[in-house]
Amino acid sequence: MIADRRGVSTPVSYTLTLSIALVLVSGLLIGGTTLVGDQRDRTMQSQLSTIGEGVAGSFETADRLAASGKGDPGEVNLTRDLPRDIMGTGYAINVQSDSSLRILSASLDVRVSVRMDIESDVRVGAQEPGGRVVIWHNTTASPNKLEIDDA
Amino acid sequence: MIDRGQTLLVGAIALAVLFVSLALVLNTAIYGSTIASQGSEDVTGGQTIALQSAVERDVGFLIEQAIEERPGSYDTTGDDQQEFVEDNVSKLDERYTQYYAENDRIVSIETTSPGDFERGGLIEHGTGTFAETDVTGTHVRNFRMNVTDVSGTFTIRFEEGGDFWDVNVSPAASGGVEVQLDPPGPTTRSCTTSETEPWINVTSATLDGDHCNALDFFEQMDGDYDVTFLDRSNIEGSYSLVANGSVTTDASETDVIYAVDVTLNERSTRVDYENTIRVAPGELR
Repeated sequence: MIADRRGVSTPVSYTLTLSIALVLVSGLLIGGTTLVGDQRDRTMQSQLSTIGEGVAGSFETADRLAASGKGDPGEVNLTRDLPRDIMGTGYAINVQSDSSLRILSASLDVRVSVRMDIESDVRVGAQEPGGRVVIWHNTTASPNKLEIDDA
Repeated sequence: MIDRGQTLLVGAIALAVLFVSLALVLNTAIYGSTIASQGSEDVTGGQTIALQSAVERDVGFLIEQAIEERPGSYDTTGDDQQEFVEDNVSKLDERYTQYYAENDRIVSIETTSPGDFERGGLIEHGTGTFAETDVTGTHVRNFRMNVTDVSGTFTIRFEEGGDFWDVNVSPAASGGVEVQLDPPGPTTRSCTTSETEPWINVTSATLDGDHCNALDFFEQMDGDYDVTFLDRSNIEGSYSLVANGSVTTDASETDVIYAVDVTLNERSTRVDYENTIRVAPGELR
């Protein structure tokens, strides 16, 4: 029989092969997971930003309409339909004291801040889950405030 | 013969690629609806602003027409300017209601005399040296003049709370007319025309039809102001203005409508709006 040393290295080569396979597959899965996660975050951010800009626009319109009248500001109620969730996750709209909006996603820890250019006061800290909302000018409050509530 | 290890390797990589592809394909981010397109349907707030502008423009036109068609009768009983505007605002209201109903919006406008009307004085001077004109505690609108001859500096002084805004009209070096603003601050500004008999629209800030930034200062005055003509002997021509303050003038003065309050109401599925807007055509605040 011819001397055959190859049999000794078979388990070694199996081990090497499996290790390489494991490393490659793990790398692929980790990279893929990160990619998908980043994509979700970016999309969420962009969607929340769009919603935020829309709501801010309504606030600014309500502010302008309320201020345009003579004497006592009149009645202004603007209704908006917002999506109930973004990518299967709920979100909330938070009005800040510096007249900006903070939109928070419930689960993905994504938040977006939108500035508003308004002269009226706003009711701070209102946190409205998405859905149909009304942005209105509260003339019974002193001073008058712009508020956002469920419709 | 294919090595079992190699089969395992290829199989594992194939599975991994499969899992990652599935994750990418089923990623809900790809299927997220486009919110921006939904948002664009909501321009109702902007439509309300446009409606307000339309009402201001239409009622402003009615005020000018009322003054032209019923001169000198601001509030005589019947057939006066107020009745003209009130009746035509009712007709306008019907038109608006019909038009906007087609877009699922309920719109109404109304005004009631005499409570919603503000009296003003129309001061008119036809020709020759400018007449003495003094108005206190006022706003002005539609202040226009046509200069036929200017031999020195003529000044229209606007005074508000001790601040003077002097509009100086003088002959320009080129032979035309120069309008210069001397504001409370240090910087003056001016504009010139080569036209020797130009029209100057003080409230619209135009000199001979072109925009003149020397006349762009009304919005910087917050409250009522006084208007005085100084050095009138230096200028000849015609002028007219409508003022709502206390008028002393040698020119002709008649009572006219200065401004009208119009209550505008809009209801739709998206907007509830009610407000009173003040219409004073040609006035800058």
